[in-house]
Amino acid sequence: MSAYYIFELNAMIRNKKNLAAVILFLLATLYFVFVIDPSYRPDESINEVEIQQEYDEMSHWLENYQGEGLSSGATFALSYFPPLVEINETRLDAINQQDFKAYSTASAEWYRYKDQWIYSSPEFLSYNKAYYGIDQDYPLQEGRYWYLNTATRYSAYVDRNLEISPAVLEERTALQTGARVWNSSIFPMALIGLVVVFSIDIVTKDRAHLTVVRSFPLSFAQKLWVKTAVVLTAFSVVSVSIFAIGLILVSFREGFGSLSIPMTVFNGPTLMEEHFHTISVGLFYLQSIGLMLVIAYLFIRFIILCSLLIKNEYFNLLIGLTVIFTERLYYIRGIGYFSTVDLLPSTYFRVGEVLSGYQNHLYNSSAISFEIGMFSLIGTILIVEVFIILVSRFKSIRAII
Amino acid sequence: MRENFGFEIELFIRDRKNGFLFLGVTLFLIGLLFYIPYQQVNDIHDKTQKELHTVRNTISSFPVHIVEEDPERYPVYQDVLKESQLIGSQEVALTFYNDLKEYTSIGLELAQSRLQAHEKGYESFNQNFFVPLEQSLRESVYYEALEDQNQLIERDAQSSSTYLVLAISAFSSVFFVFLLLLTSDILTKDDAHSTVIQAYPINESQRLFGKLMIYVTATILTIVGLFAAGYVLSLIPFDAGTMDYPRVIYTASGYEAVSTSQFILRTLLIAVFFTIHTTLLAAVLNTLLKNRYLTLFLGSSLLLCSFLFSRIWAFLAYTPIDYLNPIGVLDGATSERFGQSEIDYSRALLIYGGWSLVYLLVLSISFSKKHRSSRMRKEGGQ
Repeated sequence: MSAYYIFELNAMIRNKKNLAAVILFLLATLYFVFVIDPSYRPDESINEVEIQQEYDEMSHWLENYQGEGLSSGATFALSYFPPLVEINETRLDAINQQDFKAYSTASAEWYRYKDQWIYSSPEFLSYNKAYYGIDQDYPLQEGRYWYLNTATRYSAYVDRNLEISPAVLEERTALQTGARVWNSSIFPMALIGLVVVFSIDIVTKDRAHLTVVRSFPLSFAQKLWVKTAVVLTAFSVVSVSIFAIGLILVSFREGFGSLSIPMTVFNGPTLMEEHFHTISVGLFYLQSIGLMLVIAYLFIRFIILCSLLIKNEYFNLLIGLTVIFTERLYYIRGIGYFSTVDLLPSTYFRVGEVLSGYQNHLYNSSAISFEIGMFSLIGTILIVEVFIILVSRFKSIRAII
Repeated sequence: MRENFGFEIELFIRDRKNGFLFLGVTLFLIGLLFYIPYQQVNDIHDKTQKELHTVRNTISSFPVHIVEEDPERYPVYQDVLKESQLIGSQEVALTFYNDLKEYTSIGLELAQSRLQAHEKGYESFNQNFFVPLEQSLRESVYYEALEDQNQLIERDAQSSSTYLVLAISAFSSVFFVFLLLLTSDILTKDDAHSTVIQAYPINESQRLFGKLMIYVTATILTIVGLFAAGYVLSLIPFDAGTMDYPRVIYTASGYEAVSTSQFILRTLLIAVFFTIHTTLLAAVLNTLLKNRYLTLFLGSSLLLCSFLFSRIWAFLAYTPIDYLNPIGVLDGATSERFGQSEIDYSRALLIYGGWSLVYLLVLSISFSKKHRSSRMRKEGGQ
């Protein structure tokens, strides 16, 4: 069995297509590290100028206000401004003294206070401008999500007694950057794409040299298991090492960070502060890797099944790439509460967004979690396995290898 | 030559990959029939509601305590209020009176008021809040054409002519990858049966010409056939619509409204040029790389390049990289996205044609090199 494993692994490494995919992946990582990431500006950044502006504008207005004939706008400002001026004063002092613990405490308070006011009177106030736009249909929900998210995160930093630096607050350290990358929708999709590219010809290539393959004294099912193991190994080694390269390169710029840094998770369904909690970055990585490996296994077995049935690698490529994007077909914002999207495996392909709860926020659901994702994916794997067993009973299909 | 033609046609038909690709197009066309009602594509009621929300958010982004006492500090504030009022009357015309004519004429007024506000420096306040200039231009042309031709605006995309246009534009964004998949082994597949190929008394350029003819004709004919079938099928769930319905395209002189049938004719012309161009590109990559997957990857990285660099490097407008989505070029989406006003329909035809000649040159050089080396080998053997 191990001889066959090594034989297959060798074929895998020497395959030009796989090599090209790995190089493409590496280039994309380098592009991210050297071009995209340095210009990263978080929506909730530490912006002294902006705080100063808000502070100046409000305190100036309060000082010069004469109090003749209260307009509705003035009444509003008189009750809204004073606490904000105080909080901003604390924030500015903290920045000047480089006391980021005090800054985090005050900023968490600032986010909660602002969110409360803006969400209850959106006709007068607005969230951070970044959440508004022509394509953004739910700016208030988006603003509330990120304000509460940031407030929870900042409070957790203070509670855990971490050493807080601007890089940690803006999620710039290597480990936090990695978590942000998982949280984007493109990275998990690219990883699944890599699995697809690796596995499309793993069965069909044998048809070119049947005599060599048949010389191994293994049963049909055993051969398929070995092939699965080979793709899974190659995929894990390639993705982990490229990810590690990326982490190390980023850490030269902003420091490595620590696995115990908390990050926010949203349980849904409604946007309230008690539905936000934090987990450590380390746990987040463990969960994402676990979920990703199960997804990779599902895709490999699915593509093996397709290879047995259709015997064409282009078909595998097409169907594999199509399946990655199936979520787009049924995605409608906020339908999660009324439907069973949380049982469909394709809802979990965007691993990072599932684990951080952003998927819950988009679907307005509370069921899209690690546990239910595992349940749904393993259920699908069982279905695929049953099909593979059924299909391999036919002699004509077993004749492929 | 004719026998070789027949042989190539048979190869094209027997290639199971091609069958799968066209099956994929069929599934896409059928899927779109369900997708349009499910996602309520182009629903004008939804659109008005969304614009109403956006404009409310825009109003609330002005600091209320300043605007109330000193409106002069924000010159565009009045424009935003007017915009909000116009969208409000659009909603009233739609929901209370069901008056599509009124909706269109208010829409025209709205688009023109936005254009005026843009002249005042609408976006200098915060561009996240405002409808972009390009969209306002497009909408004003669209509403004007509807008014001039006295046509009723469509409530949503559930009409066959709009279905066809939507299908064309959606498919266009993957058309390049589709063609690459189709042609990625255009020359390398001959390696599998080189003895048969050598039996035909023709040289390599003649063979390439034959392949080019077959690939382009077969692809265009099949796709046109499939889309026509999709159109006929869409008559069952949807209204027929009209082939005179205006569609906005982008030309050298700005946005312009043409009828749907004109739009489809232009699509056909640009698709033929694009198919010839991409087939030749795949042939060049095939000769240089000698591997179908490498052809596929390198071809797709061109697409990736256009996403990453087209906004930054203006010279890419002289390469095919900026023109990989033909319908995006036709309707102006490409020139808007890449911020280059000179990317338009006629320019795209020139670029496809010109670069096809370059590819032909590369191919003929590589063929003559190969020919010479094989002749030298023969002479050396004697």
